[in-house]
Amino acid sequence: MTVMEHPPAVPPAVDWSFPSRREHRLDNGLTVLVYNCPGQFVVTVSVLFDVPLSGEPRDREGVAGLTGGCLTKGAGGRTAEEFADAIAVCGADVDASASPDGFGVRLSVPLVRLSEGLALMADMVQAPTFDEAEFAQQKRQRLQEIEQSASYPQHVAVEQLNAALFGAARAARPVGGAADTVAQVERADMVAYARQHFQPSQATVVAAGDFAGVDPFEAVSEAFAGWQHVGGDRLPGEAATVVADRRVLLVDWPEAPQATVRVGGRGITRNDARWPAMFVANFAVGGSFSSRLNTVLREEKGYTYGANSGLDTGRHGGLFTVATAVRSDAAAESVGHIVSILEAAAGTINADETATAIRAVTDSAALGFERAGAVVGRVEMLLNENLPLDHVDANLSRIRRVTPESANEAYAGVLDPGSLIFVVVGDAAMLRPSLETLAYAPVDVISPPRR
Amino acid sequence: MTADVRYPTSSRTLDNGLRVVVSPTPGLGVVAVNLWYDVGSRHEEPHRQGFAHLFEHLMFQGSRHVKSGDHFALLQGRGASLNATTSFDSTNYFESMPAGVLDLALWLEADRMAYLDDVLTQQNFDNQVDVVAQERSQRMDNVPYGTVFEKALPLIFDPEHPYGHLPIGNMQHLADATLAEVSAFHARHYMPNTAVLSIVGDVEDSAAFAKADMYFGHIDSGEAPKRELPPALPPVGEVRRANFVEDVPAPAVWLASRLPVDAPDSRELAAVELASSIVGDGETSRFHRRLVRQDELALTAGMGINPLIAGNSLGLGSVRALPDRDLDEVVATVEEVLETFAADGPTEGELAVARAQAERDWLDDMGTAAGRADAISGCAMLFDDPEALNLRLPLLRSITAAEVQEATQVWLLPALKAQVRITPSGRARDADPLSAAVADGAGVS
Repeated sequence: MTVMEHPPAVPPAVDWSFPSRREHRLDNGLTVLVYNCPGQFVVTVSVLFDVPLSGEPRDREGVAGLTGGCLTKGAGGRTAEEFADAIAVCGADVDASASPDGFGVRLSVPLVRLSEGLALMADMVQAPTFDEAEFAQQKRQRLQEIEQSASYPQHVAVEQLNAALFGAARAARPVGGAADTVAQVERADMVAYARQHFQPSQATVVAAGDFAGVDPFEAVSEAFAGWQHVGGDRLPGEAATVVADRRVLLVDWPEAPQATVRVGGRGITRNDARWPAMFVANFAVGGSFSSRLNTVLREEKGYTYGANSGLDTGRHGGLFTVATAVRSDAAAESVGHIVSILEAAAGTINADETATAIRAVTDSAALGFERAGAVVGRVEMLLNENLPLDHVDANLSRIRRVTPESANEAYAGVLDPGSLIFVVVGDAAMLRPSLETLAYAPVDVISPPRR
Repeated sequence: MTADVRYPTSSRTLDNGLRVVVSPTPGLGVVAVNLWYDVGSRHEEPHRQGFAHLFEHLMFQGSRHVKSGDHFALLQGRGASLNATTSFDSTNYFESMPAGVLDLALWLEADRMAYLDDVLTQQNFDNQVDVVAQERSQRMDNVPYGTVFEKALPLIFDPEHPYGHLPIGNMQHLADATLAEVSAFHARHYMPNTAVLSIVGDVEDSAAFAKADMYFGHIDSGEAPKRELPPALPPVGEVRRANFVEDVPAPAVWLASRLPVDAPDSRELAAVELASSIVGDGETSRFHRRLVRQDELALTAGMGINPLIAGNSLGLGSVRALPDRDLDEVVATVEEVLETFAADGPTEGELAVARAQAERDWLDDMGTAAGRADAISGCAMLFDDPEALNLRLPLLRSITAAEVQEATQVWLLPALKAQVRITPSGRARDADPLSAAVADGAGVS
């Protein structure tokens, strides 16, 4: 038998489309979107409310997160433990949480128990108990999580980065609230929050799975048809604009075995015309294993287990990020490499990198949406960011048309490597001199309260 | 409770001993490859702990016809997701991709099975030793409580036991290793007849077997190491404690246990799994209800198991206490919960919940071609039965309350014997004199 010395040819990938959508609106204003995903016997259902996190009262931030925690702690006449048992015996899982652009309640359940799961989910949004003792326990636990999270360098790095990037905007502060604002939240705040925002007319149900033999619209309708509008109106969101400029924040972590690095700078939203080209540029620079950042910092230098860049998006703003964790004695050099790689990328995204990124992204779509949960997650993102429901396919076809020229133009227009915020969590005594010598920006040392 | 779900497979063994298993899902558009080698950290020499995992990294550094870095670049550039993992029992390499990329994936896997060491340089080798050290820092050393698993193993296994050390291993051992050892390791453990190749997804049986033969058929078989498994150890009988004082936010305790060895038809291990789930999985569990909700001693509490084939599986329970709680009180409560459960057994409701959750987890794992390929490879390699994955749901449904109770008495109660405690360094002076006394070392007693 002969040995093949060259890789076999790969035929063009078969065209893929996002699972087709069926849509229905109930009399109470609730929109229902259904996606059929063959072979997905665990069904995912989400109820998404169009409510921005910036709608929380400033001195009570964290009320949305606490509301999410309490929705699973009793509903429809069941106590917290009865409710947990009822969910679990269906083989189901539920959770509820707030994000910057929306509040979501999620259910995953084997198809054969869909009706029971939906009935419990409907109780959560229509008839939560909001028991006083359960609320008090949730609040104590949340305060404890906030306190303990200060011991995790990765967590501290992201909090410091957001605080530095977003000034006075809600995005500068933790999604779940800070200790001082969570401490202020009362049960009545949570009740008021739910009453105002949990309205069928402000909600969308998204369901995906293998619905063979089941009418998902009928199942959703049966669970949610009795839900009536009682409360307030939609709130506008708030711009998440990066207001910071070129800075290095060194968070002192004496004797840290590794330096944790998080970087942020201005990005764009997904409805920006430059999005597909910027996405391709980012893939080449730091968005894949073979990207420039990972190739230098991991495969050439051995400073890290991995380095990547990303484009975080929301309805009202976007962010360019870099994340890595590096050998402590190589922290300043790594920061220097990050800056120079980002600078060198301007105008040099080449044809190979562009073609690879386009193929990688378009050809991996079928794989990325193999699970029902991934399909629902993407639709949630579209709703959160107020994008058209055909965005996935439309975006893929726009990505196919990206050229090296458009990628370079988008990159140069979006990213300014000279105005990034670097947060480095590590041993300040060891890292400060070399970071100052690097002279990207003045180095501000922060000593966080740490348990 | 769930409509019956089965995943049929067909199997062939190539002339060189490579076992090939195929499970088609027509129309999926996606295909997954999982190449599972019969080598894990339990095969390592005592002075080279972590070598199997380092070797796995080197498998991405190029082979005779593949340049360093091209394995990832070629596949990811065609829309594939890929990676590899090294565990106690195995090393597996896997990729999921559009159906048309299957040939490329098989060619790449075959090239590094046959000709890894033609191109490996000292520079590549040194680089990956550095990368692995940073992997360890990121996952373990720079994370509060991150090294607890490593601290728990010596309480239940002797250092020379196959599971006496973690796959991530000892960074000094890796720094001392040489390039020559890489070739020797490849020659000893990587050959067609120590591997199982699973191909799952949008491909027909006959086409998949033909491709496997085309790309792997020319590779010579070798002398496979004989599988030597130690005898099963009984549960730990005497008290073993390890106390540490570290930079952590709150005191915490872990309970380590030897469990029954893994087998697809093991009623005993299935009963332990269900018992462990009732005690420590999620908001309905006894740990959560007592320690987190009722007594407010803990922020989190749970229990999980790791099924393994060399004599015993292992179990680990964990309780992260609230900062001002006394660990002795926490442990006394854990003891009471476990003893009550062992004395009374599960309620019908608890058993129903544990079964339902285990079934859902299994369906979820089987929800991707990659998940099915991994399960099929594991069943074929570890149990010589690629269809053993289909035994799981019927087995779970047939376990009785009495079996769960017996499993708790025999296997879970002894978890109380082997404890790792970690207390915060900031509080050690006034809170826990015992911990302060052993602050400087692995105080295993």
